[in-house]
Amino acid sequence: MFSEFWAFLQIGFRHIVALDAADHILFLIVLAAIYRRRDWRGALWVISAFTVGHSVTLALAVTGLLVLPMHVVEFLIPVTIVATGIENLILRERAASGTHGKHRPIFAGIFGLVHGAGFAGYLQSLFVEHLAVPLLAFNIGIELGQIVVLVFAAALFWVIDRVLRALPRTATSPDPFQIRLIGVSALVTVVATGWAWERFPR
Amino acid sequence: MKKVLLRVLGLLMFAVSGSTASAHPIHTTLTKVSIDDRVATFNVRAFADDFSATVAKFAGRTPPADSSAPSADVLRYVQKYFTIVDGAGKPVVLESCGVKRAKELYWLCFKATFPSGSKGARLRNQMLTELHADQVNIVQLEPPAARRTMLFTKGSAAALISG
Repeated sequence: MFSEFWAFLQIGFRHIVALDAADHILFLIVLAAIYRRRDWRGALWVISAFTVGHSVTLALAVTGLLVLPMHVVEFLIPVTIVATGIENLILRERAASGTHGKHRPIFAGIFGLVHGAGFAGYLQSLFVEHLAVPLLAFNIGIELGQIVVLVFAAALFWVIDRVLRALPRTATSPDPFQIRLIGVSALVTVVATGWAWERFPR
Repeated sequence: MKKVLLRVLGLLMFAVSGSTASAHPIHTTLTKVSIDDRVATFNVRAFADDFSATVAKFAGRTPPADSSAPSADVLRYVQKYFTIVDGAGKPVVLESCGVKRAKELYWLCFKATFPSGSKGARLRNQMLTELHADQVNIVQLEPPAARRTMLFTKGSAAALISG
């Protein structure tokens, strides 16, 4: 029982921290980009909503209660990244003053539903029986992987903020936080738009 | 400074956008092992597209569009990448007990006979690791052996399946 739990936890973890998990990693980065250290409560709400969302569809899809066409899910994943990036750009002024969108946790939860379906697509074929332990362990592995990604993202944002603050500034220079937010969000949005275009169901 | 930043951003975008044109699948196989004193039965589930592609490559053929895989090629492939040794370290030949295709999965059955007993038998599952660097092969020992789950990745050593 423990070996099974451990094995599937590792698979979930590796699935998120792998280099080719770039779509999920970029989503987490763009989701977290709007927060500063002092906004950790808001970030926690949003990440929790995302986790609840993807846990729900992962469970429903793996148990066969929800069947979604994978090509549509694969297209929707970059769309969620683009939407989050655009939301960041729209909310940048408010985010700089520590206020974030009221509906952000709701969007994160809905986008989590899409990502959960993406995780499940390849698991549901293999695990036709004896689901509880693999599913729970896989999900916990994904959560741990997400925590690692978010810790790296927070460290990266901290470094970027420090570098931007160290650059020569004038009285009219924009807030370094806004520069970072715009830079990260724009970069991720452009990349994800490319993926959405390539994955568009034809 | 701006130029340098723009170049770095451009390079990053190029690197990331080129890396994932499609969503990243979980590259895995699942094997259930039932083993007694003399015989071990292996039931392997593998995704048809990957499995067909790797078997075709192994056999020197072009990967078929319908993800088919001739049984003779499947057996030769599995005998190379799914290896069993007995307690004395002597290789044990696998025999096919069926290859079935169900939608996007192949269900493969193999048997290994241990004339001098299965105690100390070891398994090494390197299937599809030549195709995907992140391939993870799950192997589950079923009763009457103690229920246990093992993972095999590229380069993993053989693991005890009876002892």
